[in-house]
Amino acid sequence: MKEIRTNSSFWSTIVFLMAFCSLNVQFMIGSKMSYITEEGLFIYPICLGIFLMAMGLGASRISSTNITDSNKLLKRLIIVELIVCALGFLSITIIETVRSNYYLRINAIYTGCAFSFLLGYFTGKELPLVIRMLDSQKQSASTIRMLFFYDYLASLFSSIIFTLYMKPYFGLYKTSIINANLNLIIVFLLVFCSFRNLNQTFRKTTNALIIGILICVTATLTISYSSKLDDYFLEKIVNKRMHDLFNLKLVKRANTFYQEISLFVERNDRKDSTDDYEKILKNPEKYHLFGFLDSGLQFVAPIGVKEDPYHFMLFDPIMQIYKPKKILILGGGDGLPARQVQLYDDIIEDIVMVDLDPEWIEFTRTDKLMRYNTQNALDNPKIRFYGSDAFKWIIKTDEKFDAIFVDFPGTNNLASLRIGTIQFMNDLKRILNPEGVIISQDDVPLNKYFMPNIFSTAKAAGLSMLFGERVKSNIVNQTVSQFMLFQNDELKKDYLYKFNNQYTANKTNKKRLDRYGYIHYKRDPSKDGEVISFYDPIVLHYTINDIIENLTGY
Amino acid sequence: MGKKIEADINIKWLLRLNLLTSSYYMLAYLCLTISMSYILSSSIFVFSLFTGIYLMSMGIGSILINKIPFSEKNIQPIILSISIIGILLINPGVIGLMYLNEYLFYIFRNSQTNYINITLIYGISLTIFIGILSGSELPLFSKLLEAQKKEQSELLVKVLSFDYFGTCIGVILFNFLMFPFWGLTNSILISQSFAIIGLWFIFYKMGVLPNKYYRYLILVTLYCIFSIMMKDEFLLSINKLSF
Repeated sequence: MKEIRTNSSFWSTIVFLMAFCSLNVQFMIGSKMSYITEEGLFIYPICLGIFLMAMGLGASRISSTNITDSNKLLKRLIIVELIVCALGFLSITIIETVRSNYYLRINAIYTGCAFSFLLGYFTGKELPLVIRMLDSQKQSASTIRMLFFYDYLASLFSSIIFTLYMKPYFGLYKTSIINANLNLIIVFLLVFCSFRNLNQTFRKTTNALIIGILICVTATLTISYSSKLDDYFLEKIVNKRMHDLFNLKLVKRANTFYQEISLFVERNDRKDSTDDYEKILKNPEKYHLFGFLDSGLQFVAPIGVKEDPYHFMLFDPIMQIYKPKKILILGGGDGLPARQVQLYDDIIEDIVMVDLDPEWIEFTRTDKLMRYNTQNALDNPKIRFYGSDAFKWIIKTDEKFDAIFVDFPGTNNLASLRIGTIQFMNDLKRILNPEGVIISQDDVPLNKYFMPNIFSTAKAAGLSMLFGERVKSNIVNQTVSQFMLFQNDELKKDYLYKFNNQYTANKTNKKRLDRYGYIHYKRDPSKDGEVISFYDPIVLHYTINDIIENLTGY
Repeated sequence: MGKKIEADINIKWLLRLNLLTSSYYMLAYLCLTISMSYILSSSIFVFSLFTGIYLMSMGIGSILINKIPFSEKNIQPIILSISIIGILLINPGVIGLMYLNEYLFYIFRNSQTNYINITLIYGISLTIFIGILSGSELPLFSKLLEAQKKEQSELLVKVLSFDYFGTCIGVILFNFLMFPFWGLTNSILISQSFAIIGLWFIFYKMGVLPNKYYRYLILVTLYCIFSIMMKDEFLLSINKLSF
């Protein structure tokens, strides 16, 4: 007769590990979905809600069944654990595969939600199954209460370990492999150690033994080859999409605390390119470099040139018209603003750069290809770096600047939408010299909801706003919108006059404008909008249509 | 008046109360995490950390409520008072978080003190508070059913499904209606108002409110209208702090 072990420390360990693994998988799915949608605030709560709801469903399913045989319950538990293991191992890969093969984002989102549901359903079954099993062995209530305690402890543990250690150091793919192995260890423990009388069990469960050995072998193999598997995923799945759509080749991927960095290259003649750094650096003029943060395009640039259309439009008119001595760059960890700034080395005396992610700056500074691409611009002794949230840095600083350049990742993301808030504009005004200018640029066209609101916000902050849109150039086929903020209306008129009569009249400038695209300044909107607050960046342009449009896009 | 209080335990309306509170707790939790991710500017970090804390404190809540010795009679009043405490305190607590953050900005704007830790600790303790309240609901209901000696498993499943249905409503309302259309502060204020109206209505239907409290209905309604009307003033006052 097989008897289930009733040792409370054994079951506590099992319960702890089970909860730890399942929650880790949920966090991985949530993070992956945030990367895919570039909008964690919208998608993470949805995944989480589905997970919690399905957990309840799973638990209620178990509590409504009447099985009391402990062996049957154990068998069920093992099956549930194997399913959770498979879900953890496959979810990230499958979501990425769906993203790659069916190009619309919404398909990947449905897949992620389905995985959250399945995971929640089976996770919900775990603890009730263990409790039933111990109940059938007539265990005391105190042992069962201990199990609850370990379950809750595990949720805290996994949230801390996942966010602070696993995701930043291993990235999502390796974490999923490590996690699946932990799950296999649980299955192994359940198969071999959950019976009191080992000798009898061994004879009767030869099948289980075979499964166990297989599990051990796969565990050792996957742990030792995890980095190779990681490469395999990247090669076959992530790369495939980029290759099919744009003929891009992945050359480097890195994880930081805040984001996932991937670098792609493309040959100008659209032939298949190499991923070897040395070969690329031998003929750099043949390649374009694409930088992605999470899954949003951060920059596209021909390798090794001195300037690109995007940063030219951000810097050049202001640098030529105002000749600012002390400038502040918010964002710009990709090093391209710094590269552009090198062109005006004789004018600028002091540069301050504030980026949220110091690891991203370090990556740009140390990676060979990025170094070549930025022409070692980050080594410029005039630049001072601050690794801090720009929104907080400008509150603390006492310095004053002649020009402030805002180069955040797109405003299709709620966190960066704070550019338009009254708090941010007030703080910018405080650190701006009386003759100074602020400019922000984005490759997402600002829509009709955004315009009147942001104009009114600037008015409330005592700033005068000029809104411009660059018509697509012959190099990069994208519309870029920008807005500039001046201390008063006179300065704005003065800038417009100088831009139209001096800047565009210059022959070399005209050549560059022909090449990179002209900028057209728009009139102020006739209607007044709402003043945008820090806690309501949503009024900027987020209606449900925008979100769905954003999610169903490529 | 006395008769009304000693009325039979009204399972039907208690279940509806459970639906209301579970969706309200989910909404409040989402509002809290989203305002925390505005403040800390990393949504993945905040959601992963706070989910762990929320689940843990749900567990603590279910353990704590089992430690309290109480008789059958007390269960219904305890459920009612817990829902009152939750609905009256949590969302104002989230608004307090915003005020606290702005105020700390204002105080420490020229010093190197890391005031974010204070906000973080406040946010975590509020999460633990929400978790304990929402975790204590289910054990209370199962005790209530034990006391009633009705067909347990069937009713327990009903309670569970009401709880999860409430969570589902909270998630869907917040993500597809409130947050995209109204923004964060509006969703907090509007959900707060509706929760108070709902609470009052359920209490009224259950007959727990003595007659003289009927006239306070007008006060409750006024409070809700007032809070929606005061929204702009409230936003401006937050903005003024950071000037």
